[in-house]
Amino acid sequence: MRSGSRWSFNAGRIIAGLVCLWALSGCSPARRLSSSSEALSEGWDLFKLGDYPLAEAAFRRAAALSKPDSADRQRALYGRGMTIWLSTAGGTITRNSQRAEPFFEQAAVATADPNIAAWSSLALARLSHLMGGDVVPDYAAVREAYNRVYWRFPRHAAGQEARLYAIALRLVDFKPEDATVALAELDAFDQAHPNDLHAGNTQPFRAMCYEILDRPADLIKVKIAMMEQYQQDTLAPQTDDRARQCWEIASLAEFRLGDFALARKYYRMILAEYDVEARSYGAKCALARMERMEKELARAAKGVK
Amino acid sequence: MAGREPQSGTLRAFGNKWFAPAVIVLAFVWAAATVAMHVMRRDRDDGLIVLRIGHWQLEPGVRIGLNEMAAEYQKQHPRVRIVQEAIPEGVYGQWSSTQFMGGTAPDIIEMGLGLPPAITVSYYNRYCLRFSDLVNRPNPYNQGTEFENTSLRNTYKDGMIQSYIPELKEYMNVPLSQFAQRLFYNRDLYRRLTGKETPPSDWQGFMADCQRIAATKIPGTTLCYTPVVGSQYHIGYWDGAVLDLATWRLFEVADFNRDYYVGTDELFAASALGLLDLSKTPAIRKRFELARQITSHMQPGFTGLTRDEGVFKFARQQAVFIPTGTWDVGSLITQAEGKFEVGIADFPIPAPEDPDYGHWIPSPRFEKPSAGFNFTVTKFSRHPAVAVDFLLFLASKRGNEVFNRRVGWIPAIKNTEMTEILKQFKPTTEGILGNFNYNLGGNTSVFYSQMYSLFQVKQIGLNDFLDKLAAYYKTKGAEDFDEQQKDWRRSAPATERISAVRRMDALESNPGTQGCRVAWRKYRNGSLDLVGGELNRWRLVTMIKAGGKPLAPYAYSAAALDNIRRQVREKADGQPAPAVPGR
Repeated sequence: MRSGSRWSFNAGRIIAGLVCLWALSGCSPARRLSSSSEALSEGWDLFKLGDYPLAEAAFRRAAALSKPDSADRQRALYGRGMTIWLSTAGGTITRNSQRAEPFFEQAAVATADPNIAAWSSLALARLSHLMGGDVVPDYAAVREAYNRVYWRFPRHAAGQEARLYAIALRLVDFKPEDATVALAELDAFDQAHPNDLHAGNTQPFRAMCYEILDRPADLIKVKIAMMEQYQQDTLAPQTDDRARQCWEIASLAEFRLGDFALARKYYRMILAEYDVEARSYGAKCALARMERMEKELARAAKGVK
Repeated sequence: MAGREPQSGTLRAFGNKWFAPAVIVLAFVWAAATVAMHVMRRDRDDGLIVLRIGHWQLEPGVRIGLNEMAAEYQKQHPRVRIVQEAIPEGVYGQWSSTQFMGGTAPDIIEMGLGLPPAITVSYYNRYCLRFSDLVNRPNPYNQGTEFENTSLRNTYKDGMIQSYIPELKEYMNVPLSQFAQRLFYNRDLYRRLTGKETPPSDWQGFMADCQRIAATKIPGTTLCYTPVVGSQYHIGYWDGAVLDLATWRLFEVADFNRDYYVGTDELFAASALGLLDLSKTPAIRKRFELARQITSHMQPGFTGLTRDEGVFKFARQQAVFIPTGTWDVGSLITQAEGKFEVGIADFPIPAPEDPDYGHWIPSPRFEKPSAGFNFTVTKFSRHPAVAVDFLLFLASKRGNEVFNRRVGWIPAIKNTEMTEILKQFKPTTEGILGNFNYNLGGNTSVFYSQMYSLFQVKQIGLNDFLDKLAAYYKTKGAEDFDEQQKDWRRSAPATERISAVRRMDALESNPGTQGCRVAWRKYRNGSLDLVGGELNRWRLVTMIKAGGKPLAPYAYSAAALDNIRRQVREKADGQPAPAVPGR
């Protein structure tokens, strides 16, 4: 090849290469991240948008930009672990869990940010809980893992959440003996954390215990307390599910307790508080049914006399 | 010429050397310039704000109505332009997915079609703005009306209940219309064939009319009139509006979680526990008896017909009744214009004194006046405040009334007027609901669809159909029930993902602020969803494993009966009876 044509051939290749690089640089979705905090923020934004590969890249970048024992390094490890674990890509939850575990382990033992250590420990416990579709978790081991988080972080929201999971998972077999133990554990939890984040979060499990133990009077008391607590939640008001709660309390009172006065109160609450409610007709039928039953029983009682 | 030869050769050589790179460079420059101009045009602050709104309502009335509302909005906000993207229903799911994932979703988008519920929730979570704060504040466009101090959600007929996404603990969309289904009929034909003006509201009377119609020949042909239009699409209306109502009482034996409804898992559990039998339980038999009666008045082979083929039969005046919803009012009336008058009636149901069905359907169906046509604002919007403002404009008392009048739909906002014909769609707000939720998914659903189709066209009889259904439910149903539990476990990471986002919102909030307290409360409220859902699943699995026939949820326990008797005696005697009589 002559030198001129070689030059032009090379120049063509260089131009084509530059053009490709330029074009590819336009495809790069990631911003230039110059600090670890910026990269962390970007990572969580991408996580929230469900862009897991990019989120993971941002957390990797955050780790690279942070000092070895810094809080940002620990946060980056936690973020990377969460991203890998909960990514919709990458195959099964089991495989993602295996890949995420080392990141959570490192973040859980680091001390720069105790907050992240606690949440990472909770994530580690939950790895053993979420096993995918075909595997029923080893609940004893899962409960043990959750309890370990609580013993390490008893005053932290992550530790308390772990403890509630441990207590709740005691009930998976719906055995009365487990429910009795769980009730005592829930009492102890409430006593230990009357004003913490999860105060009041024991109620659904308490209700389940009473259901298993066939104690309808106690079950109804808890359901009423839950309904009141639900209504008073001004910080994060939820959809109005009061009619369902009224129906549950009323039907339990009628069929399991035989307390018609209580049943009437809650059936009537549905009728009084809702113009349009699917249970209204059922409530009217229930009120008529109780009336009829009382009359029949009264007639029968008179007949016996 | 000889002197020019070398020059020409040089040019050719130059061209040979540089042509390919030049083409690449020019193509790239052209592409880069086009993109740059597009970006510059987009970013140019010429005072115009262009909002894109994506939806699947291809009915001409909707697009015209939205354009007119956009024009009205423009009068108040001259800098805003609204551009519609109307996408066919069939591809809406794919379209919205690609728009979201590509970051090119319109500012405002209609949600709820073409995607599984879990995916919709995840899209809401990732790509859409939250409206919880918005719905608890008055709508500024309601100034001067009775709603000027009323929170947005309380201006809705349904309290915006459908806008609340429980998984996210947030209100996520703004609905604009309500929908209802009714029985449309060819009033002229009905009058001619029956001699009556309006169809009866009771089932037996309606069946008698159908028999009379089916016995009359279409003039000039050997065919008889079809009383009721049937098709794959239209049969579903009868299921929901009439047939399923016969199964209302199933909640008494199958509503284990006491929410008044029977889920697919609860129905299976009740069957597995011997609390009901698909082939023998009267409520279920009655439901399919009614199905046989109505389908015998549809055109032959209707299960293979499409929606359009059904409508065609009605438009050609070969059929008298057609069930459909508010969305078809405009098009049916247009098709009938100049040919016949369209009447609208409610679905007939058995009368309370009906000896066969009155006990099972003691009331009309309950029609929840829930709003639809739900729009949300995406995080990709460059002008989210304007997008929200436009939605508030459409959701105001006046805006919603005007918009729905133009579209021909029912307004979602309270105290609004609707067109005369739509008044017949006023929902029945007290009544019953069906509780036959057989659809466990997988093979059970496929088998049901196949058998039900055969039953509808009389290829198998009622006993045969129900026996087959019951036998299949006990074997394959159990497998699909197990699969449901696995599906729940498979979806658990999605629950955790939502919880993780809420946790990060809380961790990133400023400590000590109200925003921080709210964020943590939201996290707390959803933090136990995973284990709560898991225990609810195990409740039914454990019951089935334990075997035996438990007390039905709505049967009086022995202790309850004792207590009731004691109280009645106390009342009769005027003195307290022993706490637990006889013990």
